[in-house]
Amino acid sequence: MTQEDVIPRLKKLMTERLRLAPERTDSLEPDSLLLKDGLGLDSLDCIELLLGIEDEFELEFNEEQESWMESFTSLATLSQLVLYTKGELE
Amino acid sequence: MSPLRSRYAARDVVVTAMGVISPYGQGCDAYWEGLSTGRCALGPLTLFPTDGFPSNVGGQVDADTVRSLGSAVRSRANRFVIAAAEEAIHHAGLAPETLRDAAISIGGAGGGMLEAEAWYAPYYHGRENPRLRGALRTMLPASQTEALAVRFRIEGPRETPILACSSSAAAIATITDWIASGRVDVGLAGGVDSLTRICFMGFNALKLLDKRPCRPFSQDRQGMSISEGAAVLVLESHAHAAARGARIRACVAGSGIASDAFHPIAPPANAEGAVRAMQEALTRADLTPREMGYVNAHGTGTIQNDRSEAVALEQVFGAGNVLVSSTKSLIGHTMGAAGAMEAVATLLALEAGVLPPTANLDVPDPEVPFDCIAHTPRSNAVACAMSNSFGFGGQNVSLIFRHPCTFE
Amino acid sequence: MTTSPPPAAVITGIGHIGPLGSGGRDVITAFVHANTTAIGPLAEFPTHRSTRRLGALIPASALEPTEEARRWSRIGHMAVTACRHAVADAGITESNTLHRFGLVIGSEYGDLQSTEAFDAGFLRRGPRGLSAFLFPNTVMNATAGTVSIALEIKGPMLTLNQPGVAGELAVARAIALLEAGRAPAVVACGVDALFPILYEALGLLNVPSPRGGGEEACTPFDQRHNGPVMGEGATAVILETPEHAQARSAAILAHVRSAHWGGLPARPYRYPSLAQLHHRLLDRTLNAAAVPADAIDVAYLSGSGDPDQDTIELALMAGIFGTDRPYITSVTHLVGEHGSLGALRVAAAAMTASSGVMPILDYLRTPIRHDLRFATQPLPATPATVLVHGVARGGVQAALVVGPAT
Repeated sequence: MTQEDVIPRLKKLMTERLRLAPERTDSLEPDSLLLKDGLGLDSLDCIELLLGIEDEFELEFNEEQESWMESFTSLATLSQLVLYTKGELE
Repeated sequence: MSPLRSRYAARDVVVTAMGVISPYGQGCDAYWEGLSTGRCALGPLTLFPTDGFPSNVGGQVDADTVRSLGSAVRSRANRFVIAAAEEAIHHAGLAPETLRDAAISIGGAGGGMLEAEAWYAPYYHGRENPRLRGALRTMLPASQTEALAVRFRIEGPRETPILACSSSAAAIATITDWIASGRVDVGLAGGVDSLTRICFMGFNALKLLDKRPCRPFSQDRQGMSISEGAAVLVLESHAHAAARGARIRACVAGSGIASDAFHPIAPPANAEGAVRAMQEALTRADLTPREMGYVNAHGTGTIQNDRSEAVALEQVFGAGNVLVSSTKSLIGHTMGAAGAMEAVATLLALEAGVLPPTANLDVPDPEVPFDCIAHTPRSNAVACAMSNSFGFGGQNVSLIFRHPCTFE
Repeated sequence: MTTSPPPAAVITGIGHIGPLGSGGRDVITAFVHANTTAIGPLAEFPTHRSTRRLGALIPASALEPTEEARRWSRIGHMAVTACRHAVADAGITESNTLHRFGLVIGSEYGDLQSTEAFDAGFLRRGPRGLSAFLFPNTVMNATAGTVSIALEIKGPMLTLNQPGVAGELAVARAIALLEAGRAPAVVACGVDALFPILYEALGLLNVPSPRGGGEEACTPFDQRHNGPVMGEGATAVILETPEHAQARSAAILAHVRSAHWGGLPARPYRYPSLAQLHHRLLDRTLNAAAVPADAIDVAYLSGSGDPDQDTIELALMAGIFGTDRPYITSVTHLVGEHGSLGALRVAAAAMTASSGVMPILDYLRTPIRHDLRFATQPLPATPATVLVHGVARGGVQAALVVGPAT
């Protein structure tokens, strides 16, 4: 699994779980900012998306929020979190 | 004890009795015994299956206590609130005709949802059980208030305020307002929540539950611990209480209610709504922060709440200028009942001259610049104390109580 | 000449969203004048699991999804819409005017739709089926939170759960906030939504028409009455102290002369029996308003079509009023019943107080009492003094006197 595999699935999750318009998620680049300086996702959005990621990729995140919130900066950092947690990265 | 002395005004609001159901058991005596010895009542929940969820730790009223409350009343929440009200009314010694015109405000978030969940599961799977349908009649939080009105034949103005974790603190502020304005002379104010599967699942889904008993104000805190219980206070105008020779436990000196209008669950970093609620309470009580000897904090143990609350307390009191502790560290977060249960804890502390501790506080957070009374109760006869509730959705309520010795 | 006491509060704006429209006083006045019903066979959701077919819903086009509403529940969207209409109707254009306002929301069922969806997610897929978005909505104050964020209301915020009279109670409770000096103005909103699980559950509990046979219909106060027909909606009323309204040069729509609530003795989930009725609350409300019973021109009653409720409410009216007045009316036949419909009754009463417009009970064939006067003809277009009264299952009773702005 690579970032190119993960990112489209993340975009689909953002449309479905965060109720974002498909045009908005489709237009996101890997480095587009997702949090308050960019798309504007807040902590509740991130939790919802995290639940979706756990479900979609069969993962479990039990560490405190502050350790995984930073990964929501962009689709690129988010896909790194997924790949790392799945053991696909060094 | 402070030199504060003033005279009661006829419409000052006083507390004349209290009743509690808590994870320590039934009654104020059991409640104070647990609080004043700093005994943490949190542990694995057994009321419903918890498999598959990250955290299963919380507070639960023990099965023997629940059984002793009888099964005449359908919902667990209604059993709790009736028992708490019975204790309070018994100790207040109110005549039936006085009760008839009393007001009631009982806050709560979940109502009889525990029993409604049990109806819904088979319904969802297409096998509705008509014998469980009665749960729908006690599902709404309003049924708690109705249960008290029916049991005690009360016909005064009543309401069921829902402000998430601040519900029953708002109930106390409400009854105080209605007495002060002359709408009523007497009121029952309190709250109740029973554990529900939805509450347990939801806080797990939000990743807000500690896997261990919660550790408010700790550097390594990881979240809250859900819990359940009920508390009811009898409030009266001073004139009414004095005329019937009632024992005055404390004066509700002031209260503040303010909204953040910020986010569905997160508090703003500047804690602006919490600050306004505390400042309004102080203004209405005609007291300064210096005159406050103790703050019973909202203190849930989540990273965000405790940080935001510390900011608010520092803004109002200045760093280190008041003793603080979290009852939730001992009994967990009792949701809609928390405001009233923690008000009772504050009142019992005022009476006894002993401040309950913050349990599990092994490594205090250096960003919380207050003595949070770690582990061991503290003997300290304070004259005035504040109890805060800062609920989901930016609902902030602050209550201030004065010891009777501060009145002539 | 005796001087009237000052009003408990002044109404400066009203707003509504419901099956008959969405807007401020013009919309409400228009559908009251038109007097046509929105009740009909439900098409928006399946009713095959229910034994009933009729209802009244807000059309989907009236609640368009927007970026701002992305995380709102449907009931939250309804409440924001009604509150925004009321704020505009009150001539408030600066958002920071609302920073000191209070907010009171009254609802019977709140956002049970979200609660059900949340629980259903778990029943379907276990812990993986849970939604973090839905969970905050399982506590009833989430709607108030949504409104306060959208409108930047930062004063005291209360949500009151109350069957039957949640709307009247929200208004009365808002006035108590003004009385206590907690805020100089309050947005009071009654809101309840209709959704499949609620519709089905009410059917299982045998609440709606037709109970005990007869035709499924909304016929309050008529001998054919056999239960309510369910609807939904949100109505908001802006209440201010006279001083605050004057300071911002607000145009006053009507005065609330007094507002009281309490409980009649009743068994749980039941209406009081005739033997349990008394008039203490109504007496107190009229006395506080300094309005004698024979000065009440129009009375808006709960009028849901529940036979027990209709019977006791009319008995209360007969006990207080003579045979000459008031004209008894309601709004239920227009938009269907829900627990916070009383807020629309208050808003409509404000219009009646201001200009005499009132709903006509044109469906009424044979009233269950002949010693009362019902609104079967329009009134002259002159200001009126209006009673708004409601009584709920469990006995909670609310009464308000609404009069013209003097």
